[in-house]
Amino acid sequence: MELLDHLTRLVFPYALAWCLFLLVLRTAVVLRRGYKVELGAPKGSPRRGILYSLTFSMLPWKKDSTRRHPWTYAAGMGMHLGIFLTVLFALGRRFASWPDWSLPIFAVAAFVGLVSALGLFVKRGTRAYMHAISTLDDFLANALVQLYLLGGFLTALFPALNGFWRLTAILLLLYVPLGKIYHMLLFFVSRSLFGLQFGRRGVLRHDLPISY
Amino acid sequence: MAQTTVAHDALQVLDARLNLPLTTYLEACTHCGLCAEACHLYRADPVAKHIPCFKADTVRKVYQRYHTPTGRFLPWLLGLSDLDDETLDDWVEPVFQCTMCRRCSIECPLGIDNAAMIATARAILTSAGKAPPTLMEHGRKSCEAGSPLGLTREQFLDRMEWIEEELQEELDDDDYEVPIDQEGADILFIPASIELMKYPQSIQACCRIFQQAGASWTLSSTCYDVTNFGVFLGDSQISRTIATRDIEEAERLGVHTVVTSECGHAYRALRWEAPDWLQESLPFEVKNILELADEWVAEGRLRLDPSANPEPVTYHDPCNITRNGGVVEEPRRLLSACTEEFREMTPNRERNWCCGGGGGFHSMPEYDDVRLASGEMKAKQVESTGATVLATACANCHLQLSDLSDHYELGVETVSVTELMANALVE
Ligand code: SF4
Ligand code: SF4
Repeated sequence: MELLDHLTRLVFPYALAWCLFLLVLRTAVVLRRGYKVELGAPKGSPRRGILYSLTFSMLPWKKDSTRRHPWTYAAGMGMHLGIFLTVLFALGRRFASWPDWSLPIFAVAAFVGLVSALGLFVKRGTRAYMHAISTLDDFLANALVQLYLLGGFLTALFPALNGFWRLTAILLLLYVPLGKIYHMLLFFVSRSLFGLQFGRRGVLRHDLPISY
Repeated sequence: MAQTTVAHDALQVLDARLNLPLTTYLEACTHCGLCAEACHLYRADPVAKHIPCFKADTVRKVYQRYHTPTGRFLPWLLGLSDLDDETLDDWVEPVFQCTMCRRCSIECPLGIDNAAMIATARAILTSAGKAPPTLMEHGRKSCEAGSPLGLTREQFLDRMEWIEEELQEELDDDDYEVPIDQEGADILFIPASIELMKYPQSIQACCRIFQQAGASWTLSSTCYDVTNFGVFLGDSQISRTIATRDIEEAERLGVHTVVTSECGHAYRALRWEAPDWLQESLPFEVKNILELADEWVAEGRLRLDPSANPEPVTYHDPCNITRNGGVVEEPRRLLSACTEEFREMTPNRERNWCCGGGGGFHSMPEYDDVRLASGEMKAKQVESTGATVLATACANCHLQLSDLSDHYELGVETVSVTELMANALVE
């Protein structure tokens, strides 16, 4: 374990640099494409559209898919929340140590994330329609996230396993800029563009009275 | 990397369209599959080709293969291969069996515009000469003859003369004239060929609304069809040519407003997309007839008597009027004012189910079975309202809804919103 801890400590900065460098490069390529403001006179508010798109429009009751697939929605939320808290756990540990009482919380978060990711992995592997749209990247990205969450979970309970967790983080960092996990950055761009256009066209307006 | 000729040509089309939104949508999809059940085509027939992201993956795979390092060096990771002629053939069904309704964007957790990618895939297929032949033919006729259905100027004038006679009788006024080519009018009204050929009563209703509001308006004898088949083909050149024709005619007549009839894609094209195609703001306003009528009712220029339409009425939101056009509340206010019982479908507004008739489906008879089957969600929606009258604001939807009424034995009468309005006008 000590050797693993030592080796991963050496490699980690390079993995992080690789990840950040490629993410910046990939994002620069996307942003380089340029956005031209639509020229048709606006009917609604682009700002309100973006705000709505990044907030209320994602609430579970706003989507048919959530009603039809509550477990998928829950798994998606569980996985993303698990990742967020596990990354927070890792970042916190770099600069200080978390109080003892917080460790079980991070362990639970990582475990929920892990189970959720596993559920989504199984769904992708077993449903015919998910098979039709899936590539190796979809499975690999999920598997690496699971591994990372497993590392976080175990380390929250047994701090001596930190080396193993760092190894999973290295693998994830190496992979992030290559595949679909990159959507974590584009999520905000994509939803903002959605809100911008639908808001501008005055589509997202539920507050108007229906009478003269 | 060596490219096939097919790939080279496809990339030329793709690269001309790559901007921040399209690149983001190409990069951001997580293949979560949540868009599948948002699509009426998939709900009617749950096969892979009807999954929105599967359709979008056609062009996404080209982008990834030739424009991303992972696609270039690790293509197997993303399931990519070189683009060849057979692959393009495989695209045709998934890509053209789509109404470009964008319901899937509303459901997508990332708000991805699959229709933008499908339009790009259509552009690639059109430039490769692989788009469905009748659709290409209609696009060609739109450019050359001014109408996709080949409606000539003489036929248009003939049809308007008939409408004029009907209105003279209705108004009991032998002097009533439908204004044509009147320079200096405030409004240029451009109908759609489906209305001229199949639903002249809709145009008659619009004329009646203009007359009642005392509007200064005109039709044009050279620009009498607002439909834009460039949109269905993804062909920017055709789109631009048709939009330019409308714009030049509006400028020649000196109007302040161009009003499109109840034609969904034409409104979307001229109102929202033409300024971007031409890279200039239009020197006039573009409105849908329902936006204008709504303003006139609010101003008191039009008065409506709901007792003229006592039957329960429901409203189908045309995707290009509502979700993609922003004309959301106007038809609702109008229907509430001109009918005794207006019943909403569920879901409605931007979440409404597409009827299955858009995206050029009516011009691809080889897909008629798919089109009718894909209307199943809409048919269920209509049925559950219990309404006997089904109103809509798009001639193309009107055509599809009539077909659905027959096919699913819904027993509803399909009408345009303007018809119900005209029926309820009071002096
Ligand atoms: S819902 Fe959006 S992110 Fe998910 S597969 Fe469909 S397009 Fe991709
Ligand atoms: S745009 Fe409409 S028809 Fe096309 S894939 Fe999306 S939901 Fe289906």
